[in-house]
Amino acid sequence: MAEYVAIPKLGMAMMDAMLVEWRHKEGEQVNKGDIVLLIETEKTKWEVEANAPGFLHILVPEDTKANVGRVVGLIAQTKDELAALQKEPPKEMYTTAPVPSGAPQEAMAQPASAVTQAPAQSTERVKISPVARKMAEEAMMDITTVRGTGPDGRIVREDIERAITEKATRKEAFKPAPIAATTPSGQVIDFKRVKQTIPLKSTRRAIAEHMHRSLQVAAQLTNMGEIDMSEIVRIREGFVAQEKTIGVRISYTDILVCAICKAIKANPVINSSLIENNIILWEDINIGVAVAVGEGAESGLIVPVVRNADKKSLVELSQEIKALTEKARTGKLLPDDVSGGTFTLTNLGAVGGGYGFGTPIINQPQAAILASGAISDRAVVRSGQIVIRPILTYSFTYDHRVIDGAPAARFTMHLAQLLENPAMMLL
Amino acid sequence: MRQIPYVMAINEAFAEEMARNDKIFIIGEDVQAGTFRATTGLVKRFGPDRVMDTPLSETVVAGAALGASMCGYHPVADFMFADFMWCAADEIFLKTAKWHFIHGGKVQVPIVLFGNIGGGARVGPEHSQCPESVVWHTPGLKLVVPSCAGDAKGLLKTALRDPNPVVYFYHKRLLGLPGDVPDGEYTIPFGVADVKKEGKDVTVIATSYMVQHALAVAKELEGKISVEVVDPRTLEPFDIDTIVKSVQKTGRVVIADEDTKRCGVTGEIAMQIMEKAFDSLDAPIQRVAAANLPIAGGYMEQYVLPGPKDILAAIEAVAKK
Repeated sequence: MAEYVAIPKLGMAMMDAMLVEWRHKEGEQVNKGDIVLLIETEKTKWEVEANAPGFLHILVPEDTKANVGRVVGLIAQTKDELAALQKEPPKEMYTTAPVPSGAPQEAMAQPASAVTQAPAQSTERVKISPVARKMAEEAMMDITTVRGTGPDGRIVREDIERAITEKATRKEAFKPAPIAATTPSGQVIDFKRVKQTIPLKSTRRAIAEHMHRSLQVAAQLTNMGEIDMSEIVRIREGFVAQEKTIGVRISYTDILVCAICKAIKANPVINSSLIENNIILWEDINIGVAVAVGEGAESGLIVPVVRNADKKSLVELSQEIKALTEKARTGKLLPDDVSGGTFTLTNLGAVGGGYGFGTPIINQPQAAILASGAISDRAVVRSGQIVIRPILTYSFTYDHRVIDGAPAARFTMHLAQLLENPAMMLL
Repeated sequence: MRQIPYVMAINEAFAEEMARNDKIFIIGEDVQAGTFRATTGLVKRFGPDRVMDTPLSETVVAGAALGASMCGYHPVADFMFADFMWCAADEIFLKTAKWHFIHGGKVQVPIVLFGNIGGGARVGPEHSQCPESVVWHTPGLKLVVPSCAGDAKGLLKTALRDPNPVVYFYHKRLLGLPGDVPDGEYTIPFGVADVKKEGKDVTVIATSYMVQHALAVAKELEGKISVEVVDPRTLEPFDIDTIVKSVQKTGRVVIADEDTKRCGVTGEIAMQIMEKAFDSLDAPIQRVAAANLPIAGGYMEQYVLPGPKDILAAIEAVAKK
């Protein structure tokens, strides 16, 4: 009987994954433990290994989305079995792992394979606790590769949690798929010479799809403005001077997140989602902080989420944003780290964007996003005099299906008030 | 909140319910004096017809109570030591437990079968048992095992209003233990377990006196192992849901009960957890119970009875990384 290659459940919120790349071709011989498939969930990648040696039969092609538990490939034990499988018409199958609602009942009735159980070929029974076994099944993890730390080497819950994290953070798992120049440099297409061809894969494809879909589904418009940061600059310089005492270097991003939370609390409609026929106002304020990762052709964007940001002190926010940014840059984010955002901040000032405005695109299904530029000295008029002040530019995109102009203006005005008179933040 | 000893809370429950319902009477050996003070003083207030001393015959106590219950009374059959319920096994297990069913539901037998349980008083094998498992095993009997003064009062009042036979076991070592008892009227429903202390690493399910041991051990382990102590309070009906919820949180379970380990309460609870929460277990369940021996006399009893050290060892074993 052929072994399954299936989509593992890697996080509580994970529903599906994109098949980025089959690392082996149809019919190719694979060994147990070989990486056969690279998948991408939200914005994290994962390598799916072969559970047994044999010959790979691909059921679901690359660049397709598949639900958790779906069998996307089979590993035949023999060439004859492979030939038989190749003749069968492809059908949608699931493992015994929980199948998201909407999956065909018929598919769930398919016989379970040994893939999620202790490997049959192993002569020694693996000692593992029931809860650890269930978690390993859901993550489709080969328990023979997990080191148990319980009594007599029993695999316990902690061991599975650690194994999932370790695998997700393994460096090679995050090397982008090799960029194959399908169109050689120098070739001419429609009077234009090709410099480089980058396949639309992995993170790049995810960003392309998310951004395009956002513009398709929402009625987005952008308000722009300037905020006088004199007071914040002074305060922040004070924080930096006290870095040793505070224990962390407070950044403008941290202060912006803090102020945004307070402005959202006063304007709850900003923190909402239009889902089917309801506008849902979220109780939790979870702020996504956009992080640019990679360079050149491999560049991308990840938005880790600071949960319950409104309940955290400035120091806690600073520590958490730094930790998430570091995880993002080193490719260690897990699916849960990028889930559940209710509002997004993209601080282009942090990457050197100057005095300028833009039209940021909403991170669906949120209702608004704020882009901030760098703080730069500008000539402004105060009490009839031209003076020089440190000015922050902002561009606030909101979904007019949910938020009208007036509430949007109230939000940005509130934000400006907080930043221009930081004492207000104490209230 | 006011604090009164466990046995005084029991005495108070009797007084309140006897004043409320004149069909309630207590029958047993030396109940007018009250060997453990559970019924002391009641005869003065309610008279010898309602606090009735009998000869040394448990058969009489149980048989008279059964007959009276069928005539519309709500008797309390006090066996002094629960161990001696066995002398009236026919009346209790064959008749009291079954007659409601035998008579097609037409007959009710509202009796509180009242007995003192537990070791620790060095009174030998016939006066030290916790005979819970045999009662729990018998369909038709409810079983209450309070661990503190507040529960003892609230649960006894519920027992005295229940139309079924209820076995009420109170523990020797808890008699003088003061505990919070609310002023005024209150009852505690059967079948609702109480999380006596919240924790996240290990669930200790304990009954009766073992609850107090478990709480002491949990306190000792604070900062090292976070122990949740769950007291079922009644074994029949049994609140498995609260226990399952706790097990889902911790994944690690110790069950502590003073009855004999073999075929005991701990085994039944462990099996129910396996049936309902197997996929949440992260380690084999540990049992703490009396050794499979008669409770030894005198100082030797400590080698048979379970204690805090056993609970501590079990928690450490189950939490072992």
